[in-house]
Amino acid sequence: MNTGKERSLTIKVEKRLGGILQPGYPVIYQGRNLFYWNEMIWSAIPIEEFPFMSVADYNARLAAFTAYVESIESGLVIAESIIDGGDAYRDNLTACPIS
Amino acid sequence: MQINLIKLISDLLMTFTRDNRLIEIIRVLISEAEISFNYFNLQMPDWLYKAKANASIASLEHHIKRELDVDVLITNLDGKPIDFLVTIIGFGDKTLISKIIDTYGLAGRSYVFENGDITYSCEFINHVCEKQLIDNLVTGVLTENLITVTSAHPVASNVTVTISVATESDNQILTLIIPHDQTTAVLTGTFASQDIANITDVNPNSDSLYNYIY
Repeated sequence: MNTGKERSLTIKVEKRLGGILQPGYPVIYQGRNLFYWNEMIWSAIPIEEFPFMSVADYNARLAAFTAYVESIESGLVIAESIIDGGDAYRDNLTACPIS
Repeated sequence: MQINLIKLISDLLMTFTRDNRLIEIIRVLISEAEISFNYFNLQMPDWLYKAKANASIASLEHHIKRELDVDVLITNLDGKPIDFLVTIIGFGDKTLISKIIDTYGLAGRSYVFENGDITYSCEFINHVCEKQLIDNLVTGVLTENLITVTSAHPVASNVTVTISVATESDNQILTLIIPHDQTTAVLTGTFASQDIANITDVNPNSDSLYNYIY
């Protein structure tokens, strides 16, 4: 059953110097894949299980994934750099009507 | 600086001399000058940069890159009001960079740091709808010669229900299958009304809609 919300663990990062997109960007990081952060292994999540993750588990993984990406992209603060409408977890009753 | 030379000249002409023939003649005469002027405008920033760069600055930029792996751009400001502007392109430790600059090059001369204009933007993509499993209660009833298993909602795939039946003489393990989109499965056998039946497992074939409880 849809809950009226949608979620993502895939982030696209763009880095610009003087307004010019730097070589190699945008970079896309996939938080459903296995990653290692804070002395903890976050194992891969099958795509079919991802929609059913509990909200608590999803929030925990999102927080770890965010910190992991920020550790790779030195200087990036995701909360400050995210563009309008690009949030990870958001209401969307159009795409995901409660049913 | 961009100037439309033809317009400038025609504006400078006395009003009664501004006819099209004269302006066209002037256009032909100044065409080469206009090309040179445009070339000058294009090259000017590069000439200014090269005029202010020197071997010691280039060497210092290279050395900082080699030692700290940080790109810097050192611009000679000729003491107006400081001597040099050190632009850090990316992220670098200013203390370490200062140490190198003071050691090798610009000691005794004033300089300030400026961070290069690095910006990040990001967005989460490929969203999926959040889903929640619905509880689907499975119950069973044993009557004489008949076991009936019922789910609260039509099942979303074939669901195998395992039942343990304790009779006076033995203990039987039986399975029933509730077909996809149905709510009931029935099994006939030789049961007595005093036999005790328990559902021990409910196993959906491929069902991502329900959380089966029993």
